[in-house]
Amino acid sequence: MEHHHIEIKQERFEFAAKTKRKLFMLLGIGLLLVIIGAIGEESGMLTNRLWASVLLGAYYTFLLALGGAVFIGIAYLTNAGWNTGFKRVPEAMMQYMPIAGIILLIIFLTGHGNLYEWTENDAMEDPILEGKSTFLNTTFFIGSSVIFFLAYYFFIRRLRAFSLKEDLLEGNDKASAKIFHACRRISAGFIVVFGFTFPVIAWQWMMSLEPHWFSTIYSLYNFAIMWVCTATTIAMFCLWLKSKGYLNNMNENHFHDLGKFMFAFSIFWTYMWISQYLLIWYANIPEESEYFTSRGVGTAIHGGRFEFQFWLNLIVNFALPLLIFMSRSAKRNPRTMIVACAIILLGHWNDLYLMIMPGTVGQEAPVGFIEMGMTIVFFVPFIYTTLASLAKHNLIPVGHPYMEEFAHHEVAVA
Amino acid sequence: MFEAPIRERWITGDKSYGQISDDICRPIENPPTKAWWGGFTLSFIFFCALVFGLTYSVWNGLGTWGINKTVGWAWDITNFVFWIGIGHAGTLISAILLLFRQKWRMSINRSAEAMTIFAVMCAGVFPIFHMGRVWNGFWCLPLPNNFGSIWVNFSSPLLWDVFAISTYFTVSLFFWYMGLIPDIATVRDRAKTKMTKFFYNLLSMGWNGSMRTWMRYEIVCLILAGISTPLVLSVHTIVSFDFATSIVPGWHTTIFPPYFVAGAIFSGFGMVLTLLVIARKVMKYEDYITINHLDAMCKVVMLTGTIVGCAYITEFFIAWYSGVEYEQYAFINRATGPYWWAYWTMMSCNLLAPQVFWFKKLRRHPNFIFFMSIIVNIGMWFERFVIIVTSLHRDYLTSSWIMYYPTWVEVCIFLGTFGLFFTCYFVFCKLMPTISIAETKAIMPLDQLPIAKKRMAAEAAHAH
Repeated sequence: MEHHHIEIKQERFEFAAKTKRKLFMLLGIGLLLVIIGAIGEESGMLTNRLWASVLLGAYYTFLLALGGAVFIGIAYLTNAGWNTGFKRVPEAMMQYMPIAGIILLIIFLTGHGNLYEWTENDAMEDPILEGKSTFLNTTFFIGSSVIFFLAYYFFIRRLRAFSLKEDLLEGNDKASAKIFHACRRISAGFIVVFGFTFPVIAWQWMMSLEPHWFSTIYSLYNFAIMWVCTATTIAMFCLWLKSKGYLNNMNENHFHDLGKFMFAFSIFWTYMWISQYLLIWYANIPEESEYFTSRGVGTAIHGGRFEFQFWLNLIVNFALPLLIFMSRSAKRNPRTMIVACAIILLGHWNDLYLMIMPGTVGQEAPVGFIEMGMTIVFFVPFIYTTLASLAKHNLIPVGHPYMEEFAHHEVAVA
Repeated sequence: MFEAPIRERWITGDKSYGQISDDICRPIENPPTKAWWGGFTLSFIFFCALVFGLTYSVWNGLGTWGINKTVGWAWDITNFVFWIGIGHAGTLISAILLLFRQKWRMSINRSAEAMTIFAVMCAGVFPIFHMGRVWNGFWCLPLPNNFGSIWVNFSSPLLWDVFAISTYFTVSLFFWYMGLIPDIATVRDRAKTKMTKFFYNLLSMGWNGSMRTWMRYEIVCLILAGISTPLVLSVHTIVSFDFATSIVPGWHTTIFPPYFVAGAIFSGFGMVLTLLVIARKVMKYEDYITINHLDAMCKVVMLTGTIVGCAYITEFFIAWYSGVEYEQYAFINRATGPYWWAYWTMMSCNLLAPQVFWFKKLRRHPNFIFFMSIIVNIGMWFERFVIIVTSLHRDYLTSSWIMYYPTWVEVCIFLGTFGLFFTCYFVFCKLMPTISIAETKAIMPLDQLPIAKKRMAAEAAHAH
């Protein structure tokens, strides 16, 4: 079978001053929104809302940055070729991981009293929390997080260093294969470390916001959010880069596959969601179902503050991606793609909101300017870092053994 | 489609299209070998044990089983989940790996699908006979009846199981048979005797290999793959609901659905390896089910084993973290109670043992893989035993605490299902192409195509 020759050219992304300016303006808008939102808010509520929205923004961007690394790792392990040409995008995203880690740690160190009820249990008046104190204590929390973040950072640096080396090896099949296999080994190590440590991060940073409640699937639920949002963010960056004339070897076939990913993992997320919800609802054990009653489900606080958002979650993160991505043409059309990406990212913002707010701000938590503004404030540095590291090095991994395959990638009509 | 040279090859031995058909059809066209007769006879003896065990149970009642008032289901449900789990690999390989464009599935999907169907049949034996009065088995279907208020309980996951598994069986059977049709036609076209020609002609449903036939065939296959993917996930999800919707300590845990699915894939691949390591040797399919295939499957086994292990640890941790004493006791009792040996067998077979596949040498050593696949099968059987029996045997009332041991009748039935499974498998191997001929031809390495060979020969001649 013959294939026509496709030229693979190196590209260099330029982080234009105009783009930077726009990002700074966006940051300004975010800050402004927070300030406007803060005006007139009662002070106790304000502190809670500020801390909770800070955590939301920081955790969301942390998931995306770490997700970039996981995406790279899994691509190597599965011998995936379809995502080679844009692998610099998740690679750039993962450069934000150390920053996100530091931000998270600062948040915990300074704001734990407002966010994590169990840190205030020094007098041990709560026997249940006392029973958990071997795990839920500040020393272990900080210690383990620092170790995990450093471990991720170690792997991220190695993956990045090897990936950049590939560029110099274009045409040298033997040397690039060697690098490729080295990357596979690093990825294997990373995915194992990630698989066993990420649940702990999810328990500590998210589940312990409501320290009495517990659910075994919770870590997988967090992973599902990370995974679907990472694919979505990658797609968004790629769409933007394409609109600026970059990523010339990437075309609708690659977006088609990214769309499939978003479709499949939106359903995967729903699977996690329903597993958690249905089992807790069915057994109806008060210690567990409390999580859902406090989110407006069930008779106790029926029609509570969060009820609308709770069901909206399912529509936005399941029904809409399911329907939008069902057709082939939607996945291949940049316009529908960008709309769907926005829906998914906003949808999981709502998802994270529902995970964080009821336990920290309480039943009165609004969706106001503070929450929206703060998310913008945290997304700007993430986008900035990603674009800056894209600009720092070559955009196309020309020496990667699957680059040629990427350029010829086609999703057959079936 | 361009393919990177770094990719592994899935057909070795420099085959031509004709050779592929010859090789795959050989076991069907030649008279059965001694090995086949030996295996078939042994399986059939075990199958007779199944018939005997079931007849004995029905004749004498379930008192012949080891279940008691506290442990109301044990061996039977363990075996049910064990076989259902094995039945997942086939659909996974044919549907999900298809969606992920994994070419290595092509030469293993047919036998894995067959295995799925036989495994689901074995699984079905247990709940049906656990009903005791099997002749009333149809009561689990929502049929209009004259029995008064007898009606199925729609909010019970056990009923969802009835729907999920019967649908799964039907769709799997359909999918498997659809895939077989072009290959049956190939066998028909090659047939030498009138009898075989008639037989395969009937089964090939008038396949004529025209463009239009292929087009319809591919559309139906894609639709079935689309249906099978959520279906295969739903089956084991609902099986996990049988336990997780309850409030029994050790069962009520939200991670059950994905963890059961991962375990099912793990055990399914274990069984696929058990079968294929032997089949490729006996049927001389080493060029189609290559060492690379075994390598890839070992990786899946290692991955899913680790996922399952991660779930074990998660459950254990959250049981402690929850602060619920009953939950904590259930898990400590698993690890250190009277069934500690079952728990540690499960842990070492499922989490620890598959870690040997980190070594490439061991992933490419068929005898060792065969040994490991048996370990996986044992480990996954014990997983179900541990979950079911250890949670049940310590009731809320200490006066009801009891032990469960299987009787010889139960053991006989369990071993008998292996007889059923392998009898079906041997018959299948003899009558049908165990590797998909059409699909295997589609992944022929490009430089092995006749046209490429001709050109290379011409170039070589030109160079001289």
